[in-house]
Amino acid sequence: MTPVLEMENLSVHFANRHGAIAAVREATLTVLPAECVGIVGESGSGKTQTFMAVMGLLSGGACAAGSVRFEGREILGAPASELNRVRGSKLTMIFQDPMTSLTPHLKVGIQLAEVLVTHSHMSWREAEKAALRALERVRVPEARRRLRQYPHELSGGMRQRVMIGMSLLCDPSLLIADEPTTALDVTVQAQIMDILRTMRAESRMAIVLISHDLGLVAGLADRIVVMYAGRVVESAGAADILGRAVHPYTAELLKCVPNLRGPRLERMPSLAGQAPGAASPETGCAFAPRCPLADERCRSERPVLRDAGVAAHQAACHHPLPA
Amino acid sequence: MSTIHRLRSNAGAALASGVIVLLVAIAVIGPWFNPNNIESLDWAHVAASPGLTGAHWLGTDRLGRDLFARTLEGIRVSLAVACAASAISLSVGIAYGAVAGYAGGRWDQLMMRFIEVLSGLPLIFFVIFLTVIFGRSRYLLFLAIGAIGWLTMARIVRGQTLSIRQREFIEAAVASGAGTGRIILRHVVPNLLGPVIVYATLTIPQIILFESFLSFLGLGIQEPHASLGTLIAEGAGEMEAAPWMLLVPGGVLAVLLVCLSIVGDGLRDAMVGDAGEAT
Amino acid sequence: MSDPLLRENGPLLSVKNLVVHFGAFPAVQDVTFDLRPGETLGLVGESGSGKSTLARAILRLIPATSGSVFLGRDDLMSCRPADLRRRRRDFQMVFQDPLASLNPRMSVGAALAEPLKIHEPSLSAPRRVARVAEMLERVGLSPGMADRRPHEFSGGQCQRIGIARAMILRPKLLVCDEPVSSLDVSIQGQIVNLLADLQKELGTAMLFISHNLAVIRHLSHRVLVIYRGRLVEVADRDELFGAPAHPYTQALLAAVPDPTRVAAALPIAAVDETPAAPTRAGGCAFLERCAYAQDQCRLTAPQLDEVGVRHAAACHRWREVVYSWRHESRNTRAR
Repeated sequence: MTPVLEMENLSVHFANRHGAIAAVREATLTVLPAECVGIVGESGSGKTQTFMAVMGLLSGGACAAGSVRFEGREILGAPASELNRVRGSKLTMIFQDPMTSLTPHLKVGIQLAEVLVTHSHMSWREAEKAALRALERVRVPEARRRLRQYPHELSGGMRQRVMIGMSLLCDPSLLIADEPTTALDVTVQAQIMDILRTMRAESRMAIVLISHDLGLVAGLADRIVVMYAGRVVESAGAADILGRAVHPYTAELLKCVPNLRGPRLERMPSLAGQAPGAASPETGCAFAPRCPLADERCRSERPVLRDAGVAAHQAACHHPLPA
Repeated sequence: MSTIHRLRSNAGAALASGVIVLLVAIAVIGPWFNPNNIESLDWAHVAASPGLTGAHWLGTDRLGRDLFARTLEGIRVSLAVACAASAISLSVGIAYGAVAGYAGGRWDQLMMRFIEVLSGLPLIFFVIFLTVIFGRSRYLLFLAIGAIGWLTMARIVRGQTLSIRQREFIEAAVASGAGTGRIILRHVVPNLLGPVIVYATLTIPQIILFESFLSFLGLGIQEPHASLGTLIAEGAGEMEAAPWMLLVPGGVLAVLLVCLSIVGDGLRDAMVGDAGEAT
Repeated sequence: MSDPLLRENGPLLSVKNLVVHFGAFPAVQDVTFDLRPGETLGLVGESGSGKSTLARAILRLIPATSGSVFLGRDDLMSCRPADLRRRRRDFQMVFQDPLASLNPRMSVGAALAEPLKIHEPSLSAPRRVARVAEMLERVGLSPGMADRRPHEFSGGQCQRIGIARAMILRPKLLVCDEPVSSLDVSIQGQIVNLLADLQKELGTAMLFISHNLAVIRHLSHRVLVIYRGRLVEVADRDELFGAPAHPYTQALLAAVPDPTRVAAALPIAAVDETPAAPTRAGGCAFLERCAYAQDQCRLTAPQLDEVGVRHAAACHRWREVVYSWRHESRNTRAR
């Protein structure tokens, strides 16, 4: 079957007066229909820029190289007119801060209806009815009242639901969710994840869930892709990664996933140091400074993404962890 | 400093600031190279037209005074008035606006009403009134223009203070035990200097024009001194017979104002980057 | 409303019947608790629960409507402004947004030196610089960074600077308002462990506010759970995590993402927190979101009652709540 999204050697560079900064380096991944792929990485890992490039939303100073195919058609570098045919309808994205994605001076109902009027060429009346149904679908209470409210009158969780509802209006093939719950409380986060789960079950929509929280992603994703310093460092099925992480970085991230039912740890697990900025030059493996297994070879020779023995499990490491 | 860097890379602003620096340099150093001074009357060359080979490079006026010397004097005086008046309006405006904005509540309302009342008064009467009491003096001019300029500055500063006051580092300063004075001086003012300085730069043209206007009316700089305004006033009367008397000071004023505006714009663009980083 | 757990003599912080109203909106309603020297109290609640308002009211950053806040023997509510400013060296705060809590136009060194200038004015400049350098090292940063501005640091580093600023005067009480919520999960532990270390070293009591129970578990000795401005559960840490007696606490525990439990059934309804919703006269505030609600809950608001050793909860049906949690735990362990 045709993958919904096929990314090959995608690189994103920003030019500034000191030279080029590589935010994303040769990222390759595939998303199949109805699949949920989780992208995990710390701030600065390039996970957001990768999908901004996919959506054609990179800022002015950025340039992308490589290939991105959506439902078989190349969209990287496509002109806005072509992109707009799929963006917002078949290929949608929701962001961390819904407040900045919603237009503050327009009522919620109008913003929802506008999507349908633009993409599906519905009349305003039909579009408003569809908007109501969309809000009910994402379990917004008192949906009819909410349609007439402005974004600032809704809570963060409610706004995120509106965004999800908006992105589902035209029955998309792929929904990209960039840190959708990072700014929300724990219970609201759980509810949003629940909604995403339900939406997935109801339709054949693929989801890309981007987050710095491996535990969160593992609850929804079929496959997990781990990114570090702009590169993909591990890629495998979710259950596979949880049971047996091959890359030391993933193993460290797993230690940070809280387990409230297990015994209490005196020290809260974390990674030492911090991820390298995009401006740092790449000599050898980017994770070497923080890696407990790093040796001279790691510091001089950059590891390439290769199969890790298990099916569909790849890692970029000179010393992959044993089973 | 990244602001300076950004300013330098802005070609227009760099050029404009260069021109201003050049004009100021000429205004300061020029008299050394000019055999004439602003007062001497040269009866042999009354209303002479400009000629680089002649005795008077930019010509003379009705009384035979060298226009080059007088124009340089004009630049010096106009810029001096602008800087002094800006300094007064900045210091008074910042102090007043920051205190009003930070205090909030009744004090803020009271202080703002006071400004609104003052703004409603016609400034010309104010200036005439002061001139009558204290006689004509250039220091009075600085004071008068500055005293009017601070009103808008205070409003702007107060607006900036209101938004800065909400920011978390102000709360952190209060939590540290900082008193109101320290908070205003070390936390509020440094963070509003950016937009305020830009505004000040953009109002210098207005001040120069206002001074020119006052001088034109006879309320400002008087003989034998000259400001660009008085020169333009004289030149306007001689427009048909000796156009250079108007064109020279008028041209210089126009160039000065345009360059100041460009520098002000560039400064604002440069500082936006700074504030963006600082968010 | 008295705290049924009030027992020890001489708590460091004693909050009694604190009420904070914003106009007609009751942000904090009748909160009472104690904090002993060197103890960490976790305050758990979500947006709109009033936890940040409570913290700021305790620190006198916002005015309280009524009640008292005793630090030692002094009631901070009745302190004169000048005295209050002087006493601030004893109670400090770490903020949620690390970058926003630092003055962008002040170097990091100057920001750390300011509390010293305010409270120890007799300190010479070289001594001050030395103290700043020492504090920077203690929080894991290099003293050479003192000249830099906040925007040159990462979020985690900014938070270290915020902690350094708060601790440089060795306060007796440190209030942390969601200090790690804006940081990556992989970095949160660095800050939490730093706070734990500093506490052990300097003996500071901490009021640690978070909506994330996983973080609370690492740091707190006792935990308070707050909902719509009221305390709904109070317990020692292990007791709270082992036997939560309030449905809201259970919901918070269940909401922490657990990869081993896919599609966890949340014991709360899918309703958002709406602080503006009118509180039902007489009934329990948690009614609309509670899976255990009964008629009794609609009629009488439950009080904070003792349900175990040093454990209080405000729920009519706390027995069922504890039972169902233990039951589910056993099932999960068996899987």
